[in-house]
Parts: sequence; C-alpha cells; structure tokens
Amino acid sequence: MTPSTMHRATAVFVLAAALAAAAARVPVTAQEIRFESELPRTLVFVPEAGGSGVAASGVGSFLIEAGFPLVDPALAHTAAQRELVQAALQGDEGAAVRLGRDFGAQILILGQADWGTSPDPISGTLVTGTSDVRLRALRLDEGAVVATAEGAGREIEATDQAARNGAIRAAVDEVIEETGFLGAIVNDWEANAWTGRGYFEPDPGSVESAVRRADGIGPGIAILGTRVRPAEGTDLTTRGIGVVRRSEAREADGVANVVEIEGVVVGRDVAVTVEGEPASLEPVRAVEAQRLGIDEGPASRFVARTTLSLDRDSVEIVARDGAGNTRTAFASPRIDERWAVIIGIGDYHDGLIPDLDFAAADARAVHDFLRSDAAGPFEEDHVLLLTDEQATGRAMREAMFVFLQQADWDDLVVIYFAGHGAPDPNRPDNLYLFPVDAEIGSLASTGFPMWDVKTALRRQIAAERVVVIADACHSAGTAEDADTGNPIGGAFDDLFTPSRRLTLTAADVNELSYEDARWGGGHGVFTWHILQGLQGDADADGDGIVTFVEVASFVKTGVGHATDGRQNPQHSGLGDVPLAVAGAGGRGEDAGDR
Amino acid sequence: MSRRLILILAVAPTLALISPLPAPAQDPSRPATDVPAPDTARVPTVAVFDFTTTALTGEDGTEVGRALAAMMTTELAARPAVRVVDRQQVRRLIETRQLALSGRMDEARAVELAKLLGAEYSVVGSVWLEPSRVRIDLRLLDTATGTVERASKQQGPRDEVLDLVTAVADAFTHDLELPARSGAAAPDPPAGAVLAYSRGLDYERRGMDGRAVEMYRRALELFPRYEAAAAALRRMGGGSR
Repeated sequence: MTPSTMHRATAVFVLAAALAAAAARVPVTAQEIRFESELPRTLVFVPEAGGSGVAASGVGSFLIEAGFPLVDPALAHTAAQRELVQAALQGDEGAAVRLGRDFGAQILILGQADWGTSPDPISGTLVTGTSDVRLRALRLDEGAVVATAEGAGREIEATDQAARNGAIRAAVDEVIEETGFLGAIVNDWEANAWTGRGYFEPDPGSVESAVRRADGIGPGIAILGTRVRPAEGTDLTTRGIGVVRRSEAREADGVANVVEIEGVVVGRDVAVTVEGEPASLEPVRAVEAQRLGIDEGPASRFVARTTLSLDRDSVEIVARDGAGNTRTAFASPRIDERWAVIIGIGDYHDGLIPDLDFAAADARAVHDFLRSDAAGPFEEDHVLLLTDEQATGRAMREAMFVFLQQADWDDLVVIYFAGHGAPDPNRPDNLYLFPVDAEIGSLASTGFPMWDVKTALRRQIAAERVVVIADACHSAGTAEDADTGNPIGGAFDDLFTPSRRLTLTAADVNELSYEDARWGGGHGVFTWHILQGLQGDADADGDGIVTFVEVASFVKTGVGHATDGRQNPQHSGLGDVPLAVAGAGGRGEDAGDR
Repeated sequence: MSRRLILILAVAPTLALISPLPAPAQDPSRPATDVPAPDTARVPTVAVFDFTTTALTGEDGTEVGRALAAMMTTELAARPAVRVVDRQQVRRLIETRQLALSGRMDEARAVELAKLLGAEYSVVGSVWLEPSRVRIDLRLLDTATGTVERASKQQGPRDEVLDLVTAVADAFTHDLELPARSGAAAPDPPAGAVLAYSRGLDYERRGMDGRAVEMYRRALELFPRYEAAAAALRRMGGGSR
C-alpha cells in the first residue's frame, strides 16, 4: 500500500487526536447504541390556543441554556400533518408519549397554556393579558409522571398579542423560577437509571416483532426472505431492479411471478399455509434460534413456493397454533417503491475535524448509480442527496425523520453515509455521525446521534426492507491506538434486531477505512467496490440481477484484496434484496475502470 | 450656562400662562459639573409623568402639568439618589399608547407605564392653580407594589413657581435612599443556578432537607446574589452566604 492510499486513515488519526484532546480516554468496547447524559434528551410539547408557541419556546430556551439535550421541536412540528401530532396537540397524552418516543426523547414535557385578554379597566387603551400554564414531565422509558407544576402570569401591554405573550412568558417563568418542576426532573434522572424498557419498537417485520406478537394470543410470524423468479415471456422481468414492481402490474395482464418465501413462526403446534397451501415446517435449532434472537417459545422455519400474478400485491400467510389461535401476515415479495438518503461529507466546518478527500464524491457516485437504468432507476424525488454544505445536522434529521417517513411497509429504503463518526469524548456511550456542522467540543448538541438513527429506523421508517451502507471513515475503529478505538461500526450492527434490514459497513473492528485517487479517480475503496459490484461485477450466479448479498460478498473480497487484508467490510441482516440489473449501464465517468 | 438656566428658558413660554416670568438668573450654587455621577448600576430608576392640573381660574392647565413634569425631570436628574428615564421615552410611550394627553394620570396607570419603561419607581404629581397661588404635590410610587413610598408638597405665590419646583424637588429627594430592585437592576441568575434552586425546592418538598440545602448552596455559589436561594437556606436553617 502506498502512502497516497492513507488519506482517509490519516484523517482518522487526526480525528482520534482531536477526540483524545477532548477527553482523557475513550474505550473501544461500547458498541450498543445508548444515550447517556447528565440531563435527559427532552422534547417540549405545550400547545396553546393561537399556536404562537410562546410557552414551548420559553421552556425550551431555558432547557437549552441549562444544558439539556433538546429534541428539536421544529422537527416534530415538521410532521404536523400526522394524526399523531394533531392528537397530541389536542391533549391526547398517549399520542404525546408516542410522539416523544418517535423523536428520540427520554423526557417529554407536556402541558397546556391557557390565556385571555381584556381591556384595561382604567384607560381602555391598554390590554391586560392573563395566562395559566400547566406542565407535566413524563419519563418515556416507563411513562411515569415525574413532575407537575402550574404557573400564572399577568401582563399589561398595548396590544392583545403583546399582552398574551407577556402573560404566558410570565407564567412559564413562574414555573421555571419558583417551583421545583425542572428540579424534580433532574433529581429523578439522577436517582433512577434509564431503563429503555418498552422504548424502541421492534424493527418492522423483524423476528422480534413476531416474538412479541406471540406473547399475546396466537402465534407470531416473521418473514426472513423472499425471492421473486423472473416471469417468463415478458420484458418486465428485467425492468426496474430485475423484478416487476407492484406499480407496474397493470401493464402485464395475465403474467405471474413464481415467488419463494421463507419465514419463522413462533408458537406451539403451529401449522402454516401460504396462499391457502400448507407450508413445510421444521423446528428452529437452538443455535439458529439464538441467532434470530428467539429466547422463548418453540419456533419453526417454513418455506413455501407460490405464484403471484402481476395484479396482486402480496402473499397471504396464515399460522394456526394448537389452541386454535390464528394469525395472518402478508408478505410483499415485490418491492413497490424505493427510497434513498445519500450523505457524503468531507469538508467539515470545524477545523479540528479532518477533512475527507472523497466522501462527497462517493456519495455523488452512489446517487448517480441509483438514478441510472441499472438501478431502476430510483425516482428523482425518491432520492435525497446531501453532500458537504448541504449535510447539516438539521438536514440529516429531516432526511431520516421526515423524508423517509414516506416509505411504506412494502418499499425499499437505502441509506448511505460517508463521513466521520465517533463517540462523544465526554460520554463514550454516546455515538455520533458527524454532520458538516458538527463541533467536536460539543457533539451532544451538534452531532447526529446513532440513537437518532435507531429511533428513525424503528419508529419513523415503516419499510420492512432497509439497506444501510456506512463508511463512517473509521467506522470500525482505529486499530493502532486501543485507547481511541471507535465503536461506530459495531453501532451500525446494533441498529437492527434480526430482520430483513441489512447493514454493510466499510471495515471490521479495529480496522481503518481507506480512500485514494487510484480507486475510480478518487473514492473510498469500500464505495468503489460497491459501485463495481452493483454494475454487474458482483452477479455471482449470473442471473442478471445483483442482490445485496452478492454485493456484500464481492465487496468483502475486493476490498480485502485491494488493501492487503487491512480493511474487511462487514454485513449483517437476514434475507436479501435485489439492487441492480447487471450490465444495464450505470458506469458513469466517475466509475470507470482505471 | 447652568442646566437650570436651560430648563427655565425651555419652559418659559408655558410658565407665562401662570405668571410673568422672573428674570432668568444663573444659579451658581449647583452647576451641573459639580453633580456627582450617580452609580447607575445601583441607584433606582424613576419615570416622571405629566402632572395633573386642577385650575380654579378656568385656564387650561394641561401645558402647565407637562411643563412642571419636564422641570421636575430635570431637577431629579441632577440628583444622585435616582436615575431618571429620559423624558422623550416617556412621551413616546404615552403617544404610542394613544393616551389622552389631557387624561388623568392616575397612580395605577403610572405604575403600569413605569414598568413598561423598565423603571422601578414612578413619580406622579398634581398642580393646584388658584388666582394668585399654586400648590405642587409629588408622590413616589413603587412599581412592584403600587404603594406610595414618599410624598412631598410645596405651595406659594404663582410668581415663585420656579422656586417652588426646586423646593419640592429638594424636599422630595432629601435623604432619599431607594433600594434598587434586584429584578430590574441586577442580572438574572444563570440557568444553572435556577436549576439548582429548583432541585432544592423539589428536595425540600420531599423532605430531603440535606440535599435541599446542598442545592440551595450550589445555587448561591453560581449566583451569590440569588435572593430566593438565600431565603430558602435561611428557611432551612442552613445559613446564608
């Protein structure tokens, strides 16, 4: 390996030095996505008639000043069209709690600000405003109320609006400055460890979700994988990403695909039918059960083969247990719509964060490929590309929490990130991706927590099939310095419980990720091999369709070889998804052989 | 030229309504340059409003009340015991709120307007005009409580009104030591101190007195002038710093 191939690795060492300067020690072992801080991540939700948001703004401003990690309230309101937000605005506490969890909060401050105005009784020219503000604070791990308070305010001003706002501010000030409301939150936070119980929903379609269902009445069903055989005698077989998408069904009357479905059922004495036909079952062995995350209850694996005409969306799967309880699930072997968020950041604002030469180029190349015929293409308004200056923390949050909300359960979501990632030097359990405006000295407020990535994937993105590709610079650690090792790669593995949500990361633990001009004129070696694989080189079985597993295998071999075994990409997840059509183009200028 | 001379020249046309003006005379006893600069960080702020006028002579006393308020503003501004809100600010506030200039400036309204001006005290006055005599009353109101903190009055011949203004101002400010309100003059406690105080309140409510005292002390360490925290410590028997 020549010195010129060390650019990204060099950046890693510089970043490690900067992080080390900010903290005495950063352990390498923390890989679980946790969020620990002296003060809880808090979302403030205080609706008031007129919608001016004075109360929420007043509380939020104080919390920021006091050092609370605050969940961006604008983010929650961005999704104001959602029924959940509307219900919370109307005082539905259950909806508010779910809203808080949906946006990654640990504490929800919920309340109501009432106000009124009346003419000044003496002059008739001034306006007297009065307000009552009632607040409650709920811990979102267990939903317990930890603090309540009320405040009253009065203000005389020249206009209705000024008198109202002044009165609400006065009421909020009374709660903050004269009651133990916020103190009770902090005291409780110190006294009772965050449990996280019941916080995250299982990944949609995951084995864990099936196990949870099995805890109720009836068996649980999880789809582990589907495969669509090309329909014979029609060009539709090679359209899109190699299989007919649901939206194309009307164009192919009378054509059907053969589909293979593999899944697991949890429950006792369970029988399974797929489209009314009995499926073969075999017990899941203990080792396999452990891999799938099934701790309790008997589980069986089923496989089935059926045909799916093009005018139908899904396959019906029915499980019946020995007690006669039934559960119905649907699988959508065909992908309907496809969505992607592509992020590449190399030109960081903070001078302490070393720049990356080719991260933005990597992202642009991935974007260009997804927009090529070989990838379908992905529709233009279904792909969000954020590079360098565009990739602020706010933009990344909106991409994950808002843009990807559009994906439905039978869609495919692709998330690609090239840039830096690291633990907070002051709180090593808190792992962050670095937006372009990240500040290494204040990652808690400027970084993009992996906690938020997990929150968005678990609670905002409904698609059962998700592909996460991450080259977080030293996404698998800094090998040469154990004290500054980086658990961010492990954190990506921790994103999902066993499901058809798939991750591919650039390197193994304690390995570096390299970039260099010799790979496609300037790419990370990881992304360069992904692009090569997608363009057809990874089509190991020669069926003309490049799948995720094929790409992952190709990238592992190719990157390992190109780096003399120093960098070894990792992948996780169940099943497979088709990603590209081999030989259908997509090799742009940037992606040519060199 | 002294500050007082300028004042007299400015209000002379109005005072002509009361009586022929005495010859303007320089007052060497209190040149402006001799007035010690008030410690604006600690002295209280007052706002002076137009005096209300009651005239038994049938004349329109509105301009008289305004002129006397202007004179009193200047008199008080020359004294170190108080800091006076600029007269233009007062006029602008009254105009923006479209208050009738001839309307009665009652005490309640003066208190509210003074708050809007950021003043801790308001000065209201009234003038009683008789054919040959004049009486001037002054009242100082605490904007926090609305109570009258001090009152002063002077009366005499109409042709001695300028001297009366000086006399009433002298009497009004004699030994005047108004406390500066912490809420207005002092900075707000930082958020960390407020949070510590709030934690103390919660611990106190739950009967965890030791921790409450610890939090109140922390609040005072972060903001030594935190009156509420000091009072809480006294309440808890933990002493005050």
